[in-house]
Amino acid sequence: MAADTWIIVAGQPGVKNLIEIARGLTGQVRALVVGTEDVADTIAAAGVDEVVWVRPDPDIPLEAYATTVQSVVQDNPGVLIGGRNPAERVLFGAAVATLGAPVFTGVSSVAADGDDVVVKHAAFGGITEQTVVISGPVGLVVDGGGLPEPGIAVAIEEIAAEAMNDVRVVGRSESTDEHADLASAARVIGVGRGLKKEEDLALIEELAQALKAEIGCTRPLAEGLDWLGRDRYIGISGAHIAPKLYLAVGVSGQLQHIDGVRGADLIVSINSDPRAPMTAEADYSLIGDLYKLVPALTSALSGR
Amino acid sequence: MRIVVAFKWAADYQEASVNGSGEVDWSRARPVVSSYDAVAIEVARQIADAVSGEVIGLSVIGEPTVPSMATKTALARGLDRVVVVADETLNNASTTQTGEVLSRAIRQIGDVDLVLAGDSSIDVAAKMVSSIAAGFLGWPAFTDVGNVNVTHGSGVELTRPTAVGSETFTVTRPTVVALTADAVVARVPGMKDILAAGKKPVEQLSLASLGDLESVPYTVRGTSRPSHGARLQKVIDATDTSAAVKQLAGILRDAGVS
Amino acid sequence: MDFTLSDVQELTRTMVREFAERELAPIAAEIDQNHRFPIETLPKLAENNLFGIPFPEEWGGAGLDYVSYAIAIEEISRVCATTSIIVETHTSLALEAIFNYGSDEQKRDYVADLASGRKLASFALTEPMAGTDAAMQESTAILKDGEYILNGSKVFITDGNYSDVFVVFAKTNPDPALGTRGISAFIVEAGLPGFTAGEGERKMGLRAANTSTLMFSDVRLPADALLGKEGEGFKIAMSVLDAGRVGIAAQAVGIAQGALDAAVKYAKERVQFGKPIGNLQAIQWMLADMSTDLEAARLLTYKAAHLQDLGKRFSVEAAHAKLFAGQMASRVAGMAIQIHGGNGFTESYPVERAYRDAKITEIYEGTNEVQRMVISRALLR
Repeated sequence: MAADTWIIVAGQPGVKNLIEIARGLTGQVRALVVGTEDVADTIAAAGVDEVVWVRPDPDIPLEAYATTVQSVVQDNPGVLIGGRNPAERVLFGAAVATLGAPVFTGVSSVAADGDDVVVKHAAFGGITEQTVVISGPVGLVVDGGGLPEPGIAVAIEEIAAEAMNDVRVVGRSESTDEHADLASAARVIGVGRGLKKEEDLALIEELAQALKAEIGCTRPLAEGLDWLGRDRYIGISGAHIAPKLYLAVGVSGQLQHIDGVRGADLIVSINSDPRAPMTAEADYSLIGDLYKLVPALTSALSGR
Repeated sequence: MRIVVAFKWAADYQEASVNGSGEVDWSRARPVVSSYDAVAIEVARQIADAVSGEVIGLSVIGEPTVPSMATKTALARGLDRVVVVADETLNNASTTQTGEVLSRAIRQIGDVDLVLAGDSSIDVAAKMVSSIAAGFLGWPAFTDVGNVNVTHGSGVELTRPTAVGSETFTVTRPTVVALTADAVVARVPGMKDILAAGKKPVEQLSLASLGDLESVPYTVRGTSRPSHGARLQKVIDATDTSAAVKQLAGILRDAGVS
Repeated sequence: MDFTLSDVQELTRTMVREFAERELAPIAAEIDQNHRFPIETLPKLAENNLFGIPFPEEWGGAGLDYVSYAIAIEEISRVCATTSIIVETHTSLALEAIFNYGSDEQKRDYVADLASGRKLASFALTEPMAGTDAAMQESTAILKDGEYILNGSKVFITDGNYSDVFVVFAKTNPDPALGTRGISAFIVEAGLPGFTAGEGERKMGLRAANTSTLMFSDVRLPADALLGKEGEGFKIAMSVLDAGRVGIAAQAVGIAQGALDAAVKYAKERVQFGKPIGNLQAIQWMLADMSTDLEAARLLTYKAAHLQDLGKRFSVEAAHAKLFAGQMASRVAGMAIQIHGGNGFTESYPVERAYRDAKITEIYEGTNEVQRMVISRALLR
């Protein structure tokens, strides 16, 4: 179909994958940016055909611009693409509701088929892949994928921003931890529930130093146990990584985690349980006690 | 303050099985009120207790009637009453349809100040229903919210993460909030709550009474089992730690990653 | 015939399992290894209304049925058998006795406090010379000037060092011709002059449970401490022991379920001969037998509890359940260790604790032999 595409950008410009998906379709690619001028400039040079920019009041949360987003997309229904960050999901959800469009996450391919759109996506947390056909507007949730390659900038059309009433920003905090950049790391060590205590992270940190790797983790370590920051959670709703090496330590390999590491060139697992799903998802699996293997690997790597 | 908690009677996708052609079999997966939903109910209860408010559970289910276990399980966790939209035509409802039905039911319930939900369902796990419901309502939504506190009257203060940290907002108007699973620790209901759950009101709304839905339908053309790429799946016996580590170090060196 | 559990029974399982996993699992191994009574757990049990499950809400209970109670005991035992015996003795023996045989005043004075868990209760029947032959009571409570003067001693009393209230049996009439009809029951509060408890026993299993002797030396009890009528004591004891046996059967089922769950997990994880041992038929058959054994015991237990709910006689069924479930728990826990091999013999895995804890379910609240007596007497009557 010749319908146009709207990419909904909220606050941050790391939407490389969204633009790639949109470029795979026919029709114009429009970006609706709710964010600072820097964000709008980055998107304008990212290979889109048009940028509509909403400049938010810094005292008002991005989410409060949902009705503005709705009024922009409703006149031009087509394909909507949004990212996974909190504010991105809210503005995207508002756009989707306006068009009544079905939504798909974990999208691996999109193609026009006559007047229809055919979407292949991971359904039910990624346990199956569905191919769905939509004749009408559709929404796609796509992992951001980092900053787009800069190119020739298109013009930016700024529109009046009307935020919802009675919603205010009253505080901002920046995490004191160094912000993890797992997406661009060449080597990532992922830690799972096989690690018994928070103090044992020291073992992993030593290995990470020897291997010059970033440390990531499964969801429970970041959200239930709080051993590591949320920016280090790898998985379907967390970071999606594509390093040269992904070394999973004590990671059972639930599908939602695996979804985040599929892009790795080489996957190695250290796990005591040979039946852990991780074993089937790895190139090499060391079946044994991580408390013996990790220190031994650290000294083997730093001893040379 | 009237708080609606959207909850879903669903099974964890990790308990479902998938055959070679990607068809999902849910028959051995037991539906539950998920830990996400339990947290949303707990937060709602704490807020309602602080301001003598009311907590109404709301659930959409694709069966002609709601299973009594679904409502009792949710009620035992601290709801005052439950409203359900149960209709066979909602079986396999899309995320957008579910969001739309929730928004209509919230309107029907009326005078709702705050809608709370878990950040994700445990079967579909799209993490989009709350935002979409808010979109249909024309209300602001906030997702990934780690805590909600009552400020004054009907206002709430909430915090959600950003790429570099977090932002805190005050909201003094009806809003939808999706909570992370660790926003609070949900209480384990006591034995008295079990019997009390059976005595609380459950109201069933007919789908027809909510009006025609605007959500666009779609068709599933096919399913397939996800291909996991061609991983080597080589297993190294690590009974002998030093031999196994030596072998791995060699592999990493040959691959140019160490 | 309907084997489906009600919503309430299903919910009880869900909620008690969640409670046990959250509150009991983290300390179960530690309290066992240190023989440490989990005093910090008592307020949590009370908070979740686990001290008066089958008693009416107007009396401070949770108002659930006996099948739900059995399920709760099962789920607690699956994680920590020590905690389940605290709940079981309090509920099935002490509270059951006071609720069923107490006067209105006694119920008002004790039931709400006990069912809500504000106070803990024990059951004191066993004596050095009156174990299985419980009729051989040597303790006496002689009425004198409007008071009963209690003398004697008790052994193996669960929670003896921690309970606030004790249901104590003693002879009010030592005339041997009266036999069991000389025995009466009393409600005795901790702290009365002359009432002391000895040190806790160090035991093979249920190590964190408190089990002590009680000594009574001229303890003066008011006349209204008498529970039921004079001479009814033995009848009261036998009747509440029926309820207790369902509780112990449920405890055995729970201990065995915990052992089976551990064995299944281990069979999936442990690799020998290049594959998980669960792929070996020898292991598969053991697991199948354990599961079958367990399910049979569970059904006997629920049947006895169901009869209790219907208000019908359930003595024989309780004996069936306890006899079978106790032996089953020992068998299943033993096989769970066998599946674990040498690891199962260490304190690093939970099955050795299950094995030690299971044994007592063949002994207390009526040994296997007593259950056989009950069953065979009914057959040969």
